[in-house]
Amino acid sequence: MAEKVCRKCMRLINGDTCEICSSSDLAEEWTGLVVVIDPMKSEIAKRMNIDLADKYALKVR
Amino acid sequence: MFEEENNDDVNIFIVKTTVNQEKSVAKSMALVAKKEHLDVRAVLAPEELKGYVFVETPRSAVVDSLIQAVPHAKSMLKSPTKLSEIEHFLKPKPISVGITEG
Ligand SMILES: [Zn+2]
Repeated sequence: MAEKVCRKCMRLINGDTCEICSSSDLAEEWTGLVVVIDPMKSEIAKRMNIDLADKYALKVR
Repeated sequence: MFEEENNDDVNIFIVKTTVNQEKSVAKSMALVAKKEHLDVRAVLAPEELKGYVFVETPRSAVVDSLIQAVPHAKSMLKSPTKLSEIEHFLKPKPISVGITEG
């Protein structure tokens, strides 16, 4: 699994720093995936308090 | 648990996938949805459920298009599910850690 996950916002990250949180606290082990495409209309996104279209992990280690 | 607003009329369709391809199916579905301007709000691939992804969209026809376009997305179950039935997957819970700091 090449992608890491920012522990703060749970977004999948390709580099070493989260561009949104400026955090480098990344998890290499994570499970579950939610791809939010339309955060304004998505009830899943609302339930997860997500307002940015992106890929998110559900759990991190 | 529920807020005043009742969102149980939201359609969440269940799609069968090849086992262990759930994440790649979810990502591909999102790419196709964006490219084809399909009204897909979110795609969910919980770890606990092998061989299935959930697609949040108002229209089942959209799901048919996704299944045709995305490899390893196999078929749609006839009855959509409700947000209340999948929201337990959405609650963040850290995986228990057995590692001691060193
Ligand atoms: Zn972040």
